[in-house]
Amino acid sequence: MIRLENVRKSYKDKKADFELKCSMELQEGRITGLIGANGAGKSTTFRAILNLITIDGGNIELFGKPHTKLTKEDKENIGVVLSDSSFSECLCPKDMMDIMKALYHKFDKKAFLGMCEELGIPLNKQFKEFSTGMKAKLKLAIAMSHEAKFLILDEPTSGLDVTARDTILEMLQDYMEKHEDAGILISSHISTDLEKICDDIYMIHDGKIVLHEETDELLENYAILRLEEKQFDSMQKDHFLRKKKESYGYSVLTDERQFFMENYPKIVIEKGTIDDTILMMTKGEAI
Amino acid sequence: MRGLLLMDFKFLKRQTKFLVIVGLLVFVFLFNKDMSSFGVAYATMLFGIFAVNSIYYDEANNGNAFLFTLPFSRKEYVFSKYLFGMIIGGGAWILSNLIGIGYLSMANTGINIAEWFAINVVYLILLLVMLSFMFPIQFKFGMEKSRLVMLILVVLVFMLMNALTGGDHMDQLNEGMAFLERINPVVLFGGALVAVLAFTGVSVVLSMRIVEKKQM
Repeated sequence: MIRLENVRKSYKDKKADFELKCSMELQEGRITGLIGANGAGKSTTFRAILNLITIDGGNIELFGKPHTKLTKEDKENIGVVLSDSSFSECLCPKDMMDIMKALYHKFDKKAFLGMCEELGIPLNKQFKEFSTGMKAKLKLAIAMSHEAKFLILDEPTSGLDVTARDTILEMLQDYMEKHEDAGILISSHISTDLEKICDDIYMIHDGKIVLHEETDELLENYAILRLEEKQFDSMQKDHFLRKKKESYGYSVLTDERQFFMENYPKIVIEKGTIDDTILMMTKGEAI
Repeated sequence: MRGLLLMDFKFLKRQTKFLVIVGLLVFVFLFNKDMSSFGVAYATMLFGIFAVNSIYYDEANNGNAFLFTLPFSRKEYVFSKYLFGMIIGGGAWILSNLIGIGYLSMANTGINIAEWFAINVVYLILLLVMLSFMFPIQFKFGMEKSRLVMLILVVLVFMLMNALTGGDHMDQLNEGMAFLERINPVVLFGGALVAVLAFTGVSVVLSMRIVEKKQM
């Protein structure tokens, strides 16, 4: 559905230069997560896909077309949430509904009103008077209101409490149940949000994709080995992905947890979390 | 296009204070026989300026990024702004003319209504000139910077006019004015209209290029 091939974008800044270099493939019927620290390149990736910035090199395809050649009909098939941008704050949800109805052939007024009622969104209150949580819910309701085939969601849960985040994640799961051929790309720096709903996860660091893995695989087979120096030296390192020097020796990231559990029963093996994996992939040394 | 125009009308609807104040002032001007023509100009230009300022509502809080993910092209966005300017500026022009003509017909002011209306037609053309002048600057520099750019341009225009009317150039200018007076007014008006439309065409193309290159 969406393919990024060697996409490059660089920014020169007085403080620090940034370069995005990434390739991704997003398929229908799947929720794909993009995770990384603030400034890792998540929003730049989203903006590149949405043709809001020009890229320096590489290709981006949406629905089999270059991202710069999308028609109005193609754009109607994309639902978007951006972390720092939305409809003008002086509008109210009812205004937005009228505008969406005029812009999208498949805008589902009934579904939108239903979501607003369920989420407690007041229809006649100006957007600027909304709380952060309410703004996030409305942005998502808008993105989900026109039968989009692909949802591109940049930090939709940012700044929300656990209850609001849970509501939003449930909304996304419901959307995928109702639209089996749809796809979602969602970014977050809160790994537990992505663990809950994503089929696969891309990790981005300093503008580069450092890991792409199925979520189940990541949670089941990735592990952190806590090794003393002697243990580290004596072990075969075929399944070591990253190592990091610690006071007790080394912590090592592996994607073969079962192998080490069966063959090295005396070492400390911690089931990998997404946060641990990110830390090792970004701060650890390659082996 | 319909959605974009609807959004701009929603912004306008939110400006009730602006609408009430402008409406009251326009009535005051229109019902004063010495200022009734100014009332038409005032209403036309002020609504035109509102259309230009509507870009600010789009840009505020980085709103353009989301806006340009919606199903329309950037060219359509630019075109819709010019169209919105002509609709509300033109609408204000028509309404104020109707009220003015009604007042002048009933109040027996001695003003020739045909001549009064002919002057007002010029304001409609000036609306187009203003929109064509301001939109590219607003798109390029945004709300804050464009004020400064506009100020600099106005100063430059005055300096140019001063240079043209001062010293040895005065005779040439008088000759030019005398030449214009000899031309049939209909031909002169037609020529001016064509020139303004050409200027608008250039302005639209320029605005489209500016917006196409915008990074969000």
